[in-house]
Amino acid sequence: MVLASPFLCNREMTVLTVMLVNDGSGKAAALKEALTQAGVRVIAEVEVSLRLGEMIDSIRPDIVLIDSDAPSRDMLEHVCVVSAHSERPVVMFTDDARRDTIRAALSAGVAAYVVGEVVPERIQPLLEVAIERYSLERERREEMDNMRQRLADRQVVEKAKGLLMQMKGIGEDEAYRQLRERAMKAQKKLGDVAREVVELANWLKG
Amino acid sequence: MDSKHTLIDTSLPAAPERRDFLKGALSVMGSTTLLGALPAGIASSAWAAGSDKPEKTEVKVGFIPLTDCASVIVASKMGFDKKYGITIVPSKEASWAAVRDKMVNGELDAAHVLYGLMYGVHLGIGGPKKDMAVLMTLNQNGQGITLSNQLKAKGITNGAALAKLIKAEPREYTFAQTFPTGTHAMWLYYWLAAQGINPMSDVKTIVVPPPQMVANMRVDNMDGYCVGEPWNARAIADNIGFTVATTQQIWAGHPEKVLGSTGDWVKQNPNTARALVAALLDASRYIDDVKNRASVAKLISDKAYVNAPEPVIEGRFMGAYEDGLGKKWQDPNLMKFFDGGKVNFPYLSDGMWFLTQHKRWGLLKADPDYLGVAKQINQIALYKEAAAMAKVAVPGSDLRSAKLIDGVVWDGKDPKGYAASFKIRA
Repeated sequence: MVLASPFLCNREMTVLTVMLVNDGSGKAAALKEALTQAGVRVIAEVEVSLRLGEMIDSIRPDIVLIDSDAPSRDMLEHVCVVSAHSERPVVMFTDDARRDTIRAALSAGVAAYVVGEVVPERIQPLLEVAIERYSLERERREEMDNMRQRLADRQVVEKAKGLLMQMKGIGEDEAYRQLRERAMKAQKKLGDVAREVVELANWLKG
Repeated sequence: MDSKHTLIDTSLPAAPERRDFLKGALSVMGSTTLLGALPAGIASSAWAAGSDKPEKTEVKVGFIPLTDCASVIVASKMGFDKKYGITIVPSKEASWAAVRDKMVNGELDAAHVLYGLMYGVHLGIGGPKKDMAVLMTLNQNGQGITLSNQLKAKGITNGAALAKLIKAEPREYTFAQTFPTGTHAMWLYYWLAAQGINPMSDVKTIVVPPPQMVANMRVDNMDGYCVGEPWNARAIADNIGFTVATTQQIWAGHPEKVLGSTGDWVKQNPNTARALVAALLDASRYIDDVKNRASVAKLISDKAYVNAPEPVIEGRFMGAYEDGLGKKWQDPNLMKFFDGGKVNFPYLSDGMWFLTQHKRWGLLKADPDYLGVAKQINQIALYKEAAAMAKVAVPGSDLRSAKLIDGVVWDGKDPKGYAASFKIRA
């Protein structure tokens, strides 16, 4: 698959060609879009296969990008070592001076393997795009998790309120106030206290 | 793009905190009072208030889903860690590359890791170069070489027949291992060479992640692989291959996985490192007690750990071997975790052996300072202190001797000569 961005092709970053390894997590597609928009030429997006080494040989990208938690990273490690003897070496992006960038890239979730001789300065902007893309995705995921959590909390608080109203014969506002007070005293979250109340009630009901 | 970038950088750190808070809140929820959060602190201060108090009490230990990760899981699940004032947090990892990177960048404190990989990273073979430390050996034996049923159908059931076939019917024969500098690569290469097959020129070698070996052999044209259990037993259970050799047939009592960390981590956390080794020694002793093995097999078969059916793990874990060709035996050289502490001592000769093989196969261009490197990586002094804490005997010598499958003896005394002695090499 050949992808080039027509209106950004005179930017210096376009000289770098990238191969994306898709491990099935769906991250590769999002990353491809971001890289393309930034003017990086993604020359191939490939599925994981035992032929990864041959694919790199025939596609000849400057850089291979892969999810840092992809199991197939070990395949690439082997390709690096094996081709270290050939005329076109594959080396990992591990320039010591750039350790911070590497750390950021890895913790953001992307690992880069540099094919052949590429000046580290030119890899930097590309990795920045990758890091940004992966970070955005993680942020979105966490937001979703938080939202789900908040929704679940609200539901369980409603339920606990109902139980208190029924058992103590109090009004809704008073039930809520008592839950809050209990949470503050125990230094717990309101949702957690509500969950305890609901669990306890279930247990009492047998 | 610049402004967006700044925005992300500043907002990111907040996210994990939020998550941690939530996790903390959830864990407290289950207990009746806030005391639930205290025992770790109490335990460590009760255990050691003096200068040997662990620098950090929570120790994140990476592992790969393989039978030989057992001691890490057992130490954590059975509470051997608490005895020494630490809490082991096992962290399942997807690749050896990730294990290495996370140790190097500090995300992991230590890991269940391939012996050869540690030496490869220390010398910067094909990747980052960083001073590494081997704290102890986690196990011996228990890996294997599987050949495909397609080869079996052609009557290839041993190494000699394989060598003959490769000469008689040339094509691209593909063999997989798990990491370029790792143990499985070295066992595979050593075994092939002992059959007269040059792994560098007569066949093609690739890397496949352990849990994917079986699936890849089923769908792809892979002739064989070398991997840790249960993935050789699994090939037989799934009827796609057979065991042509166990690694204990290549070297009875060979070192396999180690407890690794970076050199910096040990320097900064010597007390934690000692406590970790002592806890894993206790766990190793527990696992090697025959009456505990079945329950340990059950424990590690869980989805969170090895994620393989218990019967597939248990057989070979108990030493009950079946090779997929109809031969059954009880193996005295089964996967060992302790053996009175003989398994766990970080012998310098064990470490040097991997260097000799790295040299043999061209991963190292020149002879390294074999003994010097091994002394730097293997933390013998620290191991001895930890062994004393766990009341485990230590051997009298830092070297040991073994005769391998090709009849050659390795005793660690002349590594350079040994590395150069092999006819089949890169």
